[in-house]
Amino acid sequence: MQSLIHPQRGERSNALEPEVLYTADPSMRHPVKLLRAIVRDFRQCRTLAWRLFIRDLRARYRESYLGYAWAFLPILVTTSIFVFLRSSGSVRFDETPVPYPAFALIGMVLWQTFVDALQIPLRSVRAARTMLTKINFPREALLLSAIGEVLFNLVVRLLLLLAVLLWFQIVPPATVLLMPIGVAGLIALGLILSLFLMPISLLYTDVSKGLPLVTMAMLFLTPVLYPVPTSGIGERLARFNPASLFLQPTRDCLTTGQVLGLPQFALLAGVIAVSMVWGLMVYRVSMPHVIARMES
Amino acid sequence: MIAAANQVDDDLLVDVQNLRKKFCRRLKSSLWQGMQDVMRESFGIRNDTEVLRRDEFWVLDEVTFQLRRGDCLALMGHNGAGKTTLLRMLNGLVKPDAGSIRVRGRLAALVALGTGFDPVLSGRENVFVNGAVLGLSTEETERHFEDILAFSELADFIDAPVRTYSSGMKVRLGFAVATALSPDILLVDEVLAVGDFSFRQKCLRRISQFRDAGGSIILVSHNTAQLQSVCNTAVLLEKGRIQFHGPIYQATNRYFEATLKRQEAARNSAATTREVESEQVCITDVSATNHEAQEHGDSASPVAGGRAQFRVIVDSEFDETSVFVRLVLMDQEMGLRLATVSTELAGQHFELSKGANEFRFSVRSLTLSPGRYAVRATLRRSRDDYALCRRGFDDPPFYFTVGLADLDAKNIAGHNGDLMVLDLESSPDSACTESVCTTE
Repeated sequence: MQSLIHPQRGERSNALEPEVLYTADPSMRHPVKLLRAIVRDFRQCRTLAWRLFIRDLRARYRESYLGYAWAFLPILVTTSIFVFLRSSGSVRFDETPVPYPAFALIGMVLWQTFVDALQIPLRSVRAARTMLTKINFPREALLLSAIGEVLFNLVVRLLLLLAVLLWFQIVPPATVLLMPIGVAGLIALGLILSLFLMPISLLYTDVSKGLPLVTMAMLFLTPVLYPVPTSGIGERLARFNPASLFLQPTRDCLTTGQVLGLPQFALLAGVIAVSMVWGLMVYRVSMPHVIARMES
Repeated sequence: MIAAANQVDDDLLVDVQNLRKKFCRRLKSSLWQGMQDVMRESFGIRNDTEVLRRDEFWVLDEVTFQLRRGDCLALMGHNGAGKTTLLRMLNGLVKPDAGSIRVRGRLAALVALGTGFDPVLSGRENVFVNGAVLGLSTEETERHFEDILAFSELADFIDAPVRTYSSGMKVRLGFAVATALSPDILLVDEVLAVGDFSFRQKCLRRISQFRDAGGSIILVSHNTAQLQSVCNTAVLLEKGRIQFHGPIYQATNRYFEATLKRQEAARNSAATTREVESEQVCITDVSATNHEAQEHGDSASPVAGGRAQFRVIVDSEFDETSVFVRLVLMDQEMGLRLATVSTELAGQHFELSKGANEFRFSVRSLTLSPGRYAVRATLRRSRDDYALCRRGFDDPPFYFTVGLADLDAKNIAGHNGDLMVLDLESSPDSACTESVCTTE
């Protein structure tokens, strides 16, 4: 067998070979070129992203007895606690449009999807630090595989949610068809925050340590497990909390059938799209600087 | 302009021009400066790259070199000289602070083999993950799978989780996956320092095959014998600057001169402590000279295959009627014992007297190829073989250089990377067997 590592002899260099130039010039100054490179890498890295996704999925559950149940156990427990607190009269909420357990579970599923989209990319890129410092592979693969994991978790939780809806015999209104858009918005929002936090998170451990605290606080301060307050500080919080901006309309799709006005939606979509593109650029250009500071 | 230059030099694969990179000594400052760099980069603000910030120094400074098709370049230098940083920059992992790197063609890096292996997954699963990380498609990995398996010699373990593998096995699997790549330029960083001997040889062979097929290599290693056997040119880095760029032989000599200087400093301090420890006999110097030149009052280095005279200087505080000297010749890194020269075997004993002594003895044919060698020396008492003095065991050894003989003797100088030369009989009568020579 001919040597496997061998240069492609005979194939002349000028046409096919990629040429790369590394300089100190900030890549952000050439946004079109940068975007092209990002798009190209997203295309090229699909195999890798899939492999990484499968690797993480298998590795995560191979050593586990309960396996995939871990995708929904935490939210099931949180929801159950709130159902218990509410039924025991310890906490009191306004009336919900659907039975409370279903209402709370829908909220938790959506909320956890947002938190996943925020935390999983940060976690998996941090976990890939040795790979990042040694191998030049499309960094976007880590993002794609993280999104894969977010979606996987979502599917498992939706199955649970379906069971609960059937149990309570809740028939969602036709607006349920709009729900994917809301979910996509939640994921995009989490991912954007994640992209901007990424360089900081790779340099300082404070992000990975502090994020669970922040998300826990946000969970209780925003109307996830309870309906939107009609007055007081809770109402204002809900209005300005980016996560509940998406979470409430998405839950409404499933329950009341109310939908967001088109101008409001267009504005949100525009902001999301622009920040996503910038976030992806920041993620890419910050990587060499961050890697230079990591142990080799 | 640059495009035009490329058309002229089609074989230029790597072009590094005035490359500079800063590095920060303190972690806290480093992280904070990292944040600043990220902020500037995110807004496209040009960095004032020529200015050193707090706790910074140039880890690479004005580095310029080129790699052409078929070149095999060794990156040499002591720890912290900037070799790994340079390799990381060539691989595109880290951005220059000034200057430029232009890479043409596919580049593959053999660094930290098996990075990305998941301990829970089987070897087979990890081959596919690792292949994807290195840029292979699933089909390519499948196509090469049998070869990867054969190269790794891990067929019996391929379905076991990688965490049951020994570290050597992991490296074997990692290297095997990398053999499926077909780059134009190969970066190799110290990977050949691990694994068992036969596997290291196999990897080295594979790298040589790649070179012989016209591939270009940049190799980082501290094993100069290995570098010499693979590379033809070398860049010697010292504190981020290129100290020397040229043929591998000269580079290794320069490298060892630098090493020698460091060790001499260490020995001087060691020597003083020795004397304080009331060492009564001390070998202060061992040198080798060209025997023929010696007779003419010259003190040139011995030549490969030539006669050599060793000179051992001993300081003693007492008389001893009969002693002998034993020298162990080693490669300059003291990894290999090459030969032992014991004057006792030649029936040569010396009389040791109080004060400075000089003992001389000769070797008929010094069959070492040109280069620098290390010597361990022991002075032993003849009557009971008691070691009066040992040098080069816990302390730095002595060194001597073997030079190249004059033109006609070049034939025996051997190939680059050889450690020994053999003195072939050159007379036609004895060199041919009868059946071959009958036509003459």
